[in-house]
Amino acid sequence: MIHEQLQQLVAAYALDALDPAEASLVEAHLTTCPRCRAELDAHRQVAAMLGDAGGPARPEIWERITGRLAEAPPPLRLPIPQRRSGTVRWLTTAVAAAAAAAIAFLGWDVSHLAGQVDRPVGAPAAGIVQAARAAARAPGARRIELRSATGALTAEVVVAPGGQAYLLASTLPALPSDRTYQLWGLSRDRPVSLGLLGTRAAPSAFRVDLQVTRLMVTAEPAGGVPAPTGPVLVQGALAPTG
Amino acid sequence: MTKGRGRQATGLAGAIRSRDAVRMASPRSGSGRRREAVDWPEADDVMLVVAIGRWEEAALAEAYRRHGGGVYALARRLLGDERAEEITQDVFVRLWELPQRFDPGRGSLRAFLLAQTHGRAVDRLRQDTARANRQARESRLQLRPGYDLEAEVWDLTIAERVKVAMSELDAKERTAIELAYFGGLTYREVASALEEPEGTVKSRIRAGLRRLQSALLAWNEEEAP
Repeated sequence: MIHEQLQQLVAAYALDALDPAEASLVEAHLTTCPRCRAELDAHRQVAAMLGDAGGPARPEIWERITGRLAEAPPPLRLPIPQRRSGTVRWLTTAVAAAAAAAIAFLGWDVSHLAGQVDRPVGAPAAGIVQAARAAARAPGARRIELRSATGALTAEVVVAPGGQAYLLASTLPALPSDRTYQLWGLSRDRPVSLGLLGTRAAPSAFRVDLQVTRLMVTAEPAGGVPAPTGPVLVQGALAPTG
Repeated sequence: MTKGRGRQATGLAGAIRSRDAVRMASPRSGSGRRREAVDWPEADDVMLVVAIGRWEEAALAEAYRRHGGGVYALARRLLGDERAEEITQDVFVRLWELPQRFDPGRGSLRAFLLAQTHGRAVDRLRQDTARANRQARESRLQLRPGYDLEAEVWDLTIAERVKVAMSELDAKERTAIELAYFGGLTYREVASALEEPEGTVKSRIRAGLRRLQSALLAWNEEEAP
């Protein structure tokens, strides 16, 4: 079906008024069409207003909800990357991880020295910081603050329009040497590794593609992992461009 | 609708507004789970969801306190009391398990939760094929005249605005939207119920929603603080 026909269905989809076959067609189209996604979001907002009768939250239902919550925090239940493209992803992950590790290694000096204003900052890491500042000034650049729930931990990220991105200052504490911070992009609800940040989440360069909607940092065993195992420490939404 | 609910609404709804702590005490709060000194009633919805991602149960409690009533009311409108409770539980348990499904870039948490609620309620309705629900379904087909304002309306301004915006729609657009959204019918079913061509109904739903959008969202932007 072509865009115009599918776009006609988006409104009915927002009201859950499609049969399953048409709903699947629309869902597939939505993953590639930002305009239809925006239209869907607007319709959903309207539908929510129609359906919003308000009213008090009933405590007895809350009790039943807590009864159904897992007793202890389970490991992060993000879906595992699909096997089909496993080899390729592993390879790109490994390459990206190696690159990020190298950058993070170079960047280590910067965070280490950041508090000591009198001392010159190492050139390669300064290069990252300079590049990040330049990127931040470019039109269309986005600055995102990744935050923990309390806001006590933060990390600043700059994403240039082309997807080149930089991690700048962060308040993440140093990890023991057998652990590393790992950066993830949530891409169609799947976490994809964007690289290792080392024990100090030092300034680093990385890339995000257009599908990434959220950036997250976890702490993982040194060397990194293919899918996150630790809790998300800081995260932030990456609003779509345009 | 019942007096019981109305009475309850006064106490709790008032508290929700004033954000005075009518704390939903969790049976397990204070157990081994790490607790931080966070004033959840002051946190915005996005912060709550981020905290839920870190398994902060108090943040889920606050999200429930803010939105549980709306979720329940919508589910009840489609399904009746008993199953509305189940749907409400499901929606919040799912938020706990998959908070990353909420993307703040795509709308408010409340709209997200209500969309989840509606989707689940409609799925449930459609499972009730042959049963005595057919009757209930037929009664849903008899259109309500406008909006049930007597029902628990937590914000008269918004409700009033919605009512006005709905009344300004072309009657056929309004009918199509009501049958689909509150009746849980697909647009094809709406078309057959109204004996209209499917394409016509599809277009009316879209045209009606767009009209509502310009009436409601534009107003929302003007009035929002």
